[in-house]
Amino acid sequence: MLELFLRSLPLLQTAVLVTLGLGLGSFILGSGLGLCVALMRNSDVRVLRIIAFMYVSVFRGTPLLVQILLIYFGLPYYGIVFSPITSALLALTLFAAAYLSENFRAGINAVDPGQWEASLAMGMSYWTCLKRIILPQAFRISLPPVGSRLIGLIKDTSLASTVTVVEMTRVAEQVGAATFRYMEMFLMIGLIYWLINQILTLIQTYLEGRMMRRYR
Amino acid sequence: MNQTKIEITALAKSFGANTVLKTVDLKVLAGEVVVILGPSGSGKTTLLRSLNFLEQPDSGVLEICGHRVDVQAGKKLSRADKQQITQLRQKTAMVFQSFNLFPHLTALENVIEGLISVKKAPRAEAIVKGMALLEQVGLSAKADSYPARLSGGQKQRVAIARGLSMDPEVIFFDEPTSALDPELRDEVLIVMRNLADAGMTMLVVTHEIRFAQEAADRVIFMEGGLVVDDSPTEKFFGEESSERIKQFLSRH
Repeated sequence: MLELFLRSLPLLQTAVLVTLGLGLGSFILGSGLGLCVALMRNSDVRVLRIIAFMYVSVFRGTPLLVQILLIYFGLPYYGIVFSPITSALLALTLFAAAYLSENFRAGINAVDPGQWEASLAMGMSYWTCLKRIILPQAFRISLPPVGSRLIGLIKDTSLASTVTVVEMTRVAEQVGAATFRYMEMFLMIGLIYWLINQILTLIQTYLEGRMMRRYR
Repeated sequence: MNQTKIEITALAKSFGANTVLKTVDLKVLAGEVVVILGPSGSGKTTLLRSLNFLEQPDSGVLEICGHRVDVQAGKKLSRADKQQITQLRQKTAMVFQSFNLFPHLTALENVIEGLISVKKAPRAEAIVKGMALLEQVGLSAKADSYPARLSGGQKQRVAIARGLSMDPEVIFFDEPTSALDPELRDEVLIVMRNLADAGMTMLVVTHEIRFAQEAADRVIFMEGGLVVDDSPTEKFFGEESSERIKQFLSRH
């Protein structure tokens, strides 16, 4: 297995970077979009609430694979053509934002309403209060589910292989097909996915501990 | 000095079918300490929270620290009204029953938050002022402690310092000692006494009869969403008070 690993290492190195890039990239972009959707869901403006509700309903209610295929194979019919990587990143971002918005919304709504009252009573604006008082507390509450979402995303990047993105799963398929050693290749990349996610779990645990300290 | 800080006319507020404030008029002059007493559900807290629009009144005219908002039944607040509200909030401070300190910030950071994010003061300047205020409430040693490490009485004193940081013209106290153990109440009441003696304009909803007796200039008695009595402190606790008030006081 080791010599197979060494032989496929050049391919795997790039593939790990593509997997990480897709996972972390869609997580960051999806967090931004997800926060907007969460705030819209909480808005006083009915139209915004409805748009946000429908967004979550569509992108959480349909399979990620279908979304990827729609963007890569479907949109070109309307003259909209994305490269495989862009298609995958876009689909992962839209999908992640739907889930993350719910995690953020749960966090925001779990902050004691008294925090809003104390801020508004001193003349703070909605946005200042949100940024300085509410979100720092909401992020702490959201951290465990958001961490799970990131780990989920890293694994979901494997679906990008269906639109020819050369990430880890695709490399395993290709090397497997060339050498007929599927078992070893899929075990190998399974192990790499697990390692990446183990590191992310450790980072999450560290952040949780750090953020909890001031509340004890 | 006889400047009017608060003048409210015909303030009304309902929660659904439940009328909490029927029609309330109230006037508070600069430097006055006014204590609002009354049984639970009489509308004391709602009255206080309506003054800085934490509760949106249904109707009434409110003039607070020179900012006037005319709330008309069924009409939304205008942009100009909202600006008036933001400005009157900056000139008043509120101390809550449940403290509402910001748990992710230290005591000092709690005190200077308004200076930095509302008044846009330079951080170094804000820290100097914040430390002085913590000193004033006897907590400069706790400047770097997070609220989770403070006792209830200490939290409420930090909350008072936070309110003072904005140089308010009026402070609203909403049952500031009700969540505290009896032994911790005094440290908060002493800070409030000192403020009253220093001439701060205060509107205090409380169940602390002794505080009313010792520190108030006027006592307002509320029941059923109405101000049923508004008397100078001595008269309120004196012989000529109504039977209802004597009965209320005898239970406290």
